[in-house]
Amino acid sequence: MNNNLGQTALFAIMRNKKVINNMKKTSIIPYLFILPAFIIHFCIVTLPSLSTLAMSLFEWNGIGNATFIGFGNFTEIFTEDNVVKIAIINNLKWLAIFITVPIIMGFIVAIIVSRIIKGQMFFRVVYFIPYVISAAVAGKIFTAYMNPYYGINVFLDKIGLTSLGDTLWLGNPKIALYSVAFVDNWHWWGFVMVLFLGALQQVDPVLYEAARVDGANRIRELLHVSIPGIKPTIAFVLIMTVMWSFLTFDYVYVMTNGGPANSTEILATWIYKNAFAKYRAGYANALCVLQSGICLVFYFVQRYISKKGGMEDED
Amino acid sequence: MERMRKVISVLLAAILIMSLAACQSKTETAKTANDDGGNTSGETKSGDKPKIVISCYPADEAGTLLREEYYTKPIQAAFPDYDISVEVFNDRQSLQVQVAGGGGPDILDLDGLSDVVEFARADRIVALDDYAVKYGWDNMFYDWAYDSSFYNKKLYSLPTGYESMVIYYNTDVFDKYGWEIPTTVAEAEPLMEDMMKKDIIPFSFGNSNYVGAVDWLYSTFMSGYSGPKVLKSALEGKTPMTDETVAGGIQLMADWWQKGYIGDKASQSITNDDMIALFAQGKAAMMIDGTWAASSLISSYPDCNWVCETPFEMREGVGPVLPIASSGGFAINANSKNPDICADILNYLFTDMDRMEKAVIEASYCPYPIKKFSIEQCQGKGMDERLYNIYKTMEEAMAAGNIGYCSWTFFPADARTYMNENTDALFLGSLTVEDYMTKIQEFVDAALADGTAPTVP
Repeated sequence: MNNNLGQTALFAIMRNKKVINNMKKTSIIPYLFILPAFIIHFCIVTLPSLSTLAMSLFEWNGIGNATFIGFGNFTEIFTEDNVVKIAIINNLKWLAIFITVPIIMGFIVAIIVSRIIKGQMFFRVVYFIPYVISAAVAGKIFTAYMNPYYGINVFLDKIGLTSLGDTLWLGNPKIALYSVAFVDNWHWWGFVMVLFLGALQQVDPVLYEAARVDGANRIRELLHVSIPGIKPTIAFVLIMTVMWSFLTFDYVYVMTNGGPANSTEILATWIYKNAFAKYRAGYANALCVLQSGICLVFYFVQRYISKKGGMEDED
Repeated sequence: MERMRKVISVLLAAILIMSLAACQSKTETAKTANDDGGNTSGETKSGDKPKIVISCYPADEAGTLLREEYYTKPIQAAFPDYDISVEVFNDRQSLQVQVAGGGGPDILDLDGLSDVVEFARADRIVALDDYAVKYGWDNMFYDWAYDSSFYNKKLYSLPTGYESMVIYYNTDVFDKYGWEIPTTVAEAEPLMEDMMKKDIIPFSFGNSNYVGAVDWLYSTFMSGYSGPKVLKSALEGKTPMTDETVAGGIQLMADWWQKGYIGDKASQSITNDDMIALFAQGKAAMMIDGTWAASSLISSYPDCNWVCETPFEMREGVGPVLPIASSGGFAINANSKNPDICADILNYLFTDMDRMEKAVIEASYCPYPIKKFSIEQCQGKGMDERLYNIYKTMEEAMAAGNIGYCSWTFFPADARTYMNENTDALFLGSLTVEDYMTKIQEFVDAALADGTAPTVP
């Protein structure tokens, strides 16, 4: 009996060890699969990011040796650099524009296009085309359109809109940022529309039928079926918009290069100028850290609001 | 199946690690070859010839062909024992990154003193003093150009050319309206009013694609208004920048922009190309631009008739002043394994007079600022007369001493950066002349204190 008990206990222990070993082996395998991607990510994303953080504490011209200056760059950012303030305000304006205009436009047009049965592909392609044109090309084309001597102003003058025809779209500091944002929006909203359209097509048609049986009109369908059905896409677009608004660079760089008189300066262009035109790579790194910090804060704020609004699942 | 997954995952991880190790090994091999081969930045060899790479700026197709004919081929022919190539760098940052990474071309064609100072400060370029003694460079160049190539009392670059700011006059427009070329501000101001009444832009100007083009304007106005002595004194910290004799030039420039005389109050919406087009098409009567613009006018607008002259007198008693500059600097990369041969190549470039003469006459190249070469030797040999006159004017101005100072050669780098970034704010009224000049004074003082202020001739 004792012997039997001892054998049973031994078998139980052995079985448990086997289970534990199996569990260990099983839990290692997924990590092995993601190891290659992690190593690549660590080398080309994590390490440079950490190096940016480290170099933000140095005075460095980007070519030679760096000198450790502690938080000197950050002190300068917050106490001396007036352009940083302008750049952050411009990024916030950019965010305010892009979190409303292209999303509302994209959503409304997606709703309309989703109702079209014949020729839907034509509209999808037409609205999406600007997105596949490079920023450099589109920026240059629109810069030419906004030229006061041979652009749209000439046309506006000819049709009698002389005050509009005298507008310096890219030369007036009060409107230059909005002119550039207009062009970026022209490029961007079609992409948002296609995202929404794709999401709308995933909403179960039975839900619409049920809503109609319950007597819902188009507006109610929209509010109670369509929008709840694409909440994850809305959350994704909002998060991306928030971060891209602070990382945007291309259209401003191509169309105004931050001018006139820093009126369209954004963080990314200011970072670029400091790193490569002013030979202040250390300072540019500190600006990058600031930019990343702002993005992170906005990211978490946006996620919190989305969760509260039911757009994302609570973890 | 599970076993297969395990094998695949282990294999994938192993392949990645091996490939990373291989990359490292390859880098080390290249480094070894570099160390052994006596070849700089260029880590490969063509046969047994050591490779020498010279950086250059991008050019259009015609410019590339001219460079090949009048620059690359002659150098290659002069140094047959070396595999010499001229490599285009589309942007300055790729050059910076390569040099910072321990590579880059052997000979660097840098933008000007502000670039040279940064590379010198980082010990990325070689001090040329010993070579200067060996080749006698100190007596070869115009003093102003040679002296402006020093940083921290060491010679780090050699001036690649000389240029100046001039005023271009569209003679078709002037003839049409019966206008005379002005010689003073007093003559220019009523003339510009008349031009505006006739819907002609007095001075074509645009900097939307390159904000820093404002340095063409402030270099001209400061030089013309202050005159050589006062501006030199200000740049050496002896006369305050806020003094009326210095700040007055900036005030005049800002006033003229605000009156619409310069750039039709729309310069931030106009590119440099538009600026030349407006002038050449007769929509503008005058243009303040560098001597480099002449070749663009000749090649792109052959039907436009124009002359260019030293900027007119901007303040009574100062006289006309011609702001000059060296157009860039040749430097030797500290990573180069062949600095001696690089110095030899530089010496060849500045001493082969036949090549230089042909390049100036046939390719409209800017002459090097060397004493031995006179533009007069090009007269009657097919050189465009207008270009000849420009260089003749420059030589005469240098001889007479009525030269001004372009910011990219003679201003402290930080002062120039500030001015380039903030002159538009001055035009648009969001910055006062006093604040602008006070800030410039701070940068000048700082540069004088740390020894980075350029030598002003």
